[in-house]
Amino acid sequence: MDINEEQLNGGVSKINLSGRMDIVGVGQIETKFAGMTAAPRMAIVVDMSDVPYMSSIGIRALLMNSKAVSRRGGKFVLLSPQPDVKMVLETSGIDQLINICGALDEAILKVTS
Amino acid sequence: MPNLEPVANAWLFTINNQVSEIRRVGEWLDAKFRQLGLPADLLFKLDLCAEEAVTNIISYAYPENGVHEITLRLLVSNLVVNLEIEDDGVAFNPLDAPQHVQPASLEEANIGGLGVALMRRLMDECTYARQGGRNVLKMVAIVPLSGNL
Repeated sequence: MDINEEQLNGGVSKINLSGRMDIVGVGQIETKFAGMTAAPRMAIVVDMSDVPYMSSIGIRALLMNSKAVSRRGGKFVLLSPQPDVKMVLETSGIDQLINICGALDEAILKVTS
Repeated sequence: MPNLEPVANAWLFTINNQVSEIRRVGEWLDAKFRQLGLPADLLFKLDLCAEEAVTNIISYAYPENGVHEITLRLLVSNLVVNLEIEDDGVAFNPLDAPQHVQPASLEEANIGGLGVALMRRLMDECTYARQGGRNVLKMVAIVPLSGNL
């Protein structure tokens, strides 16, 4: 997997994930992911559009990073998961815990309001 | 439209009990599904459930460690895909993991039992048996009929 971060206007961080979010993929990005969700970032959008697959290990990575942000009073949303990945998020009930947005402007609004 | 033979076909694949081997399972399933013209969303579900099962086996079936083979058997008939995963580890049923309870809040959430919950929800049937000193996990997915009946 690959991961990178870009700063958007209004103090929003956009984390771009790509590749298979399985046990191997998560192992490749988890340290960087944790670094990118650390203080002082308070508004984080995780772009999932380039992630074709996710298993429970991937869900765990999203949960852990989301919790780290919310504990500090920050906001963390997922952007544009692919249909099969969205199905996994819904089947596992994660969509009830983490906001999922279909468009960037919607995501930015969610993390800055 | 699946181009399946009227009789069942079976394929065997083995991996070692190492996390680095898990991706080979996905690659094998992908190749088989393409060969058979089976739907991509069914591949996604089976790939995911196989990964969850194999991860649990690697994590819990070998408390003494060592190198072991895990055998996967794919059986495909006109309407059903069967994946059997067999290992020679200690008696361990991946489906016995604690029930996943939907957490009320993000703060309470953890993923204990989530892999098993996914297997049970995404597969049409999951069964475990201990046979001849081996764990055998069977997953069944019904191939959706296409629209042109």
